[in-house]
Amino acid sequence: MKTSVFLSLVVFTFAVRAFADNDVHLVQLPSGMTSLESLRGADSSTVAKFMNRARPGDWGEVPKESVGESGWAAIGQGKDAFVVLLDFSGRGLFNKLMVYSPAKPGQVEVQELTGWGMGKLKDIIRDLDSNGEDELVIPTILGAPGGWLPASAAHTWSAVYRLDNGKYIEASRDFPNFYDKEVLPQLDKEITGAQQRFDEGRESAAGVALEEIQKDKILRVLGRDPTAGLQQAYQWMNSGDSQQVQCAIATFEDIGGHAKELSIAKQALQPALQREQAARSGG
Amino acid sequence: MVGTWTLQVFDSAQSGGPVITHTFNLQHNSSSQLGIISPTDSQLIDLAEDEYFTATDATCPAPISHQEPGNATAACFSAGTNTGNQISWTANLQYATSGGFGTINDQRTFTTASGVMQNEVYQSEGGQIQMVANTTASDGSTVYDCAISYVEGPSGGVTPNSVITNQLVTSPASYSNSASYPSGGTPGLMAQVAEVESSYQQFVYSDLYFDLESYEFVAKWPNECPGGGACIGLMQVGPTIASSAWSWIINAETGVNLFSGNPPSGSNKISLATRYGSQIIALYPELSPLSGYQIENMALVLYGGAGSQQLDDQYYIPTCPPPGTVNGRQCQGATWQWTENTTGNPDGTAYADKVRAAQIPQ
Repeated sequence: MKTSVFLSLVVFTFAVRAFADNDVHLVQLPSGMTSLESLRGADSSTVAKFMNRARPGDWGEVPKESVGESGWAAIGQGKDAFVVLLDFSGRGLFNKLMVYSPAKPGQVEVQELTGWGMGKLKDIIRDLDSNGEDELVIPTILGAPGGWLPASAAHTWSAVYRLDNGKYIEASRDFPNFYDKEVLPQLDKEITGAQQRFDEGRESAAGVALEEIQKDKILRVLGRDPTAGLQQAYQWMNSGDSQQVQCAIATFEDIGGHAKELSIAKQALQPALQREQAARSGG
Repeated sequence: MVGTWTLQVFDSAQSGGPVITHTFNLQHNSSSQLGIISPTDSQLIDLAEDEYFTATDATCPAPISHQEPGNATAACFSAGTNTGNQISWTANLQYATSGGFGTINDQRTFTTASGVMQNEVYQSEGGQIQMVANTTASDGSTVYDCAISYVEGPSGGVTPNSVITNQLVTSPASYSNSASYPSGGTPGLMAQVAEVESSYQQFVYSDLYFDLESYEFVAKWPNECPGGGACIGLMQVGPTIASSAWSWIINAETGVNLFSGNPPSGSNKISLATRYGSQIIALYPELSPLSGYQIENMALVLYGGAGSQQLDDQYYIPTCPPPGTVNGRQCQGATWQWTENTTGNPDGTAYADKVRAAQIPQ
């Protein structure tokens, strides 16, 4: 008997997104502007006008109340980039940093970087390796997309971006001195303080965990301990406490390769949140 | 600071130990020339419970402005003196978040007779009170006593969830009564935002102050967002000002106003989301108008801190469903439709989805 084998071709079809994904855009300077220099000393209203006149076609308007501090970052060869903080929340969260760099005559390149709770430009624009080119130190939220529950308990870590062919890229691992001198000593102090308060009964275990995950993240980023925090994460996931469970989720997600544990931790989060909500009042 | 103190004087010209050592004991002795009786060192005075008046310091006489609405707290100042003279006071209440936002400097001066209580009401404000009392001694000199106490959040009585929910969901200042509440909107949305942002907590226990021995002083202070408290409280509104830090009602009103009312500067989030939606539709005219529910989702992304001016970073993005193919801005063989933009803005869409999933506390 002759057997026929039919091979079926399964075609998966997906909806196609509008818009092209670009993180750097080339835009024309507005008429009357020959360079970015005229923006030195500009107020937020003037900066908003510039941004709205020099925006790619798939950008919406930038309301002037969203424009925060602006300044300049040295990008080598005597050139400066114009840097603007944006806050679309209206709550001072400042989650976007726009970097406008000189390009061809009459044009600028604009790059959008994302952070969370970015404060002052003087803390962001730093020449960490003293090479005449500024790095950008950007507070970056820890944890799963969508942030922490509640958002007020979220924590950030400082990511370092450096120039690479005229574009800023995340390169924290290249700046161990920054972390060793400025970041890790402060985190060690905070962890010690939290642990001491915990030992005295004045701090929750979650309070200690929330400090530890910041240091663990940096140790992983620097490559010093690729599984920093993993052992604690196993304890946190079974704690029944929503904050510790979220610390576990953040750790498993960042380390990767622990799908089962991550799934268990995610399943443990909602019941923990519900128990805690039932046990508290407002205030 | 009350306690035993050691004073040592060193001579820089001589090596070795101190040339003078003097040990003395400090105390507030109201039977002496001057001694503060109340508030005591490091005393915590609770902000009154929710919107009802409660004099939380039981030693206080009736507050002088109890008929005023809002959170009133009486701090009671008294000192004793054996000189028979009036006692002059300076009480300076100071506050700022850990990052220096929401500054309060409330300095008051008054006089009391020995043993008589002066009731000072602090309404929708708190922090550290540095007080100095002075009087004229029998030899004509001025003698002083000082102390530090604190006005903290309502650790004794907390605002019932139902009161907060009512404020955000049904009161005249609620979301559903706000200027830009969209047709088909979600009345409980701002209550869900409050749950996600702060777990309904205007105040939380934290170590905002250190005492003179650098002992972290844990008490109930306004609930700061990370990074030093640029935003604060129930709705995590900012930039932080004193009133939004210390009054949950003002905080709730500020959050609703920012989302869908008339904020002091610029447009609210519903209006901005509507404009971004219109700008996307202008590029892709086949798209249907956004519903009130969809506009709320767009606005949540903006409020939540993952907003962007980029049209491909909004909660919804146009997609061309199968079997359609994209040619420029044309969706050939199908029609553009709105799709949740989990790829373009995973943080923003996840935040909005968390708000939608939040249970409103009852």
